[in-house]
Amino acid sequence: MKEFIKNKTVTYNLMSFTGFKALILFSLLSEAPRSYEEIKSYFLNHPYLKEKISLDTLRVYLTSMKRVGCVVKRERINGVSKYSIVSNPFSLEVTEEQIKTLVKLYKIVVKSIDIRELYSIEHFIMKLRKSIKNPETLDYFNKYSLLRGVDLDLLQNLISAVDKNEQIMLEYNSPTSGIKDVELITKKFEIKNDKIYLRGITLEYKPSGAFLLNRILKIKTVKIVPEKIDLKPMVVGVEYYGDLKGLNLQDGMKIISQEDGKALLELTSTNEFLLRQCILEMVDNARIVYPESYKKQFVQNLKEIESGYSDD
Amino acid sequence: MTRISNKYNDSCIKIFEILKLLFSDSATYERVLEIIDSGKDEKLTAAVVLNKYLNTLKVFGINVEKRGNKYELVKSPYKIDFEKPDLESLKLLMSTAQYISSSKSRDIVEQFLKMLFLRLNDADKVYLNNVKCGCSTDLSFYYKQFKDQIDICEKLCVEKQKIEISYSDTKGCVNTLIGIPIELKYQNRKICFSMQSAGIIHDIPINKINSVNQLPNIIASYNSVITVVFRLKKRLAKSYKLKDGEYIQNIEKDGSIIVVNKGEDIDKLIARFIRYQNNCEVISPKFFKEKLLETLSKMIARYKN
Repeated sequence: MKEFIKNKTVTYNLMSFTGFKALILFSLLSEAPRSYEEIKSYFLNHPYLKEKISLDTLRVYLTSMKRVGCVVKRERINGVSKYSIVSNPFSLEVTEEQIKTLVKLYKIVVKSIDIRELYSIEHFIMKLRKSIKNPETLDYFNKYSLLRGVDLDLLQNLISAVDKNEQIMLEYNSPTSGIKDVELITKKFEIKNDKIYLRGITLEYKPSGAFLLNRILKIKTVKIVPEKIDLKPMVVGVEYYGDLKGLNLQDGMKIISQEDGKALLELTSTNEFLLRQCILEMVDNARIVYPESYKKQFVQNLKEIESGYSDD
Repeated sequence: MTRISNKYNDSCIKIFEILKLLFSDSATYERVLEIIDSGKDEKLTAAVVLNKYLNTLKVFGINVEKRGNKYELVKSPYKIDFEKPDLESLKLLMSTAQYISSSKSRDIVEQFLKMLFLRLNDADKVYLNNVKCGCSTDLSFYYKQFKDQIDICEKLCVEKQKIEISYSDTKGCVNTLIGIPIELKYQNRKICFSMQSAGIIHDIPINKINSVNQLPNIIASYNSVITVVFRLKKRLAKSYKLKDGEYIQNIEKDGSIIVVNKGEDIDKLIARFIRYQNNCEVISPKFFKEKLLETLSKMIARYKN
């Protein structure tokens, strides 16, 4: 070895010359398909090898690689026969136990991270899938992924639109009215109850809307300078009787006061549906205090739900 | 099956077999010698031959170091080409592993990371070591604040003995349950101890547990958990995403779906159904429907004064 370091000449005594040639060949064929002529020329011009390789020797090397678990492919490309290694035994193999534990970690973080981090985890898994020996093991992750069925390129474009609050025209597969165009000024992403929503101000009716990410089909147009729309948010006062520590304080929610085992919360939103969902989620720990009209409407809604269950 | 020709090269096989051992982190001195030694060589000769193969790897750019009785891959040209956000995600998952109390799970993560590290290039290794946890939210509260409770609850889940638990509910009332520990659930910056009592699942936030006593009874088999069957209608039926432990039993002519739910916390399920408003209908069991109606009555009663 000392000799090699000194004069950069590879000698047969200090290393396995055949082993070295096998590694060179493995590397060449893993990069891209190569013809016999290309391999021969590479060996001839290699600074340490400087020798030809016969077709018979090449075949012996390929057979040896197959014996250790390499999958060697031979195909005709532009009329020339080329060899390549499509898989090798050194690739990472992810065990079922490992992916189950990774999913366990994913479940811990998934509800506390933002959409960009969700995207990155998905991208990491996708990269891993391309690099491991048994990509099918990662199907288990897909079962739990919040981005299952979401086009990652489209998501990246949507993230970029939200970052700039762009006005975009979406093709959206609505659960009620089917495929339609929706124009909105993008505001933010929201992860709620295992679903991801894109929130923004819709141009047609001008309320703040929430669109399920997995139902967005494509971005049709982008307006860099959005229209100016002044939306008046709804403010609702709610008395909360539960334990405040257990309450997940969301955007637009603040504690106004606290006394005698109850707290006054103020909820501000431009989307009435999401506001109602938020109050309903508090079940019997909440009581709307103001505005009176919204309170009446809410109670009426509760009575309707109750009568739906009492009927049968 | 493809026929493999008989003509092969022994040195070629040996160098790749050594590489295989290195990439699986199992290249002990004895196993490497087994590959080198074809039976006829003396041990000393085998060691010389081994040196030749290690030199070959080094000349090719694969650096190997002997640590204790094992050869370890230090540098290799065969890498997985990750991008920075991928590595940040990996870091996030790595740092989350410390919140898992189960040492078995931590060992599994460590083994996975070790195998992955063997396939990272030097720049990626440095980046991964230096980058801060890519998470927008500080998750460390999981571990630091509740470490003792997590450890106790994980232990209870492993030991499979019946327990008597005292906890405070969302209204601050103290309740006692006797049942079977199941698992720890991490939900939206909250850790819940999931247990089954009389077939009903209860997810109790661990910071609300007042005391837990193990009873002498060992759980021979788990009782069946109560299943809730419900119908989802209109737009909700079209956009519904099945939760853990759920499946669709039937799709009706009008597009409604019949869903079977098993293993969800009963209070959470009630809150969920109330949010679904008139798009949901409970089919069975009867007691669940009654409990849901009772909750709705309490909600309405809040406004009667």
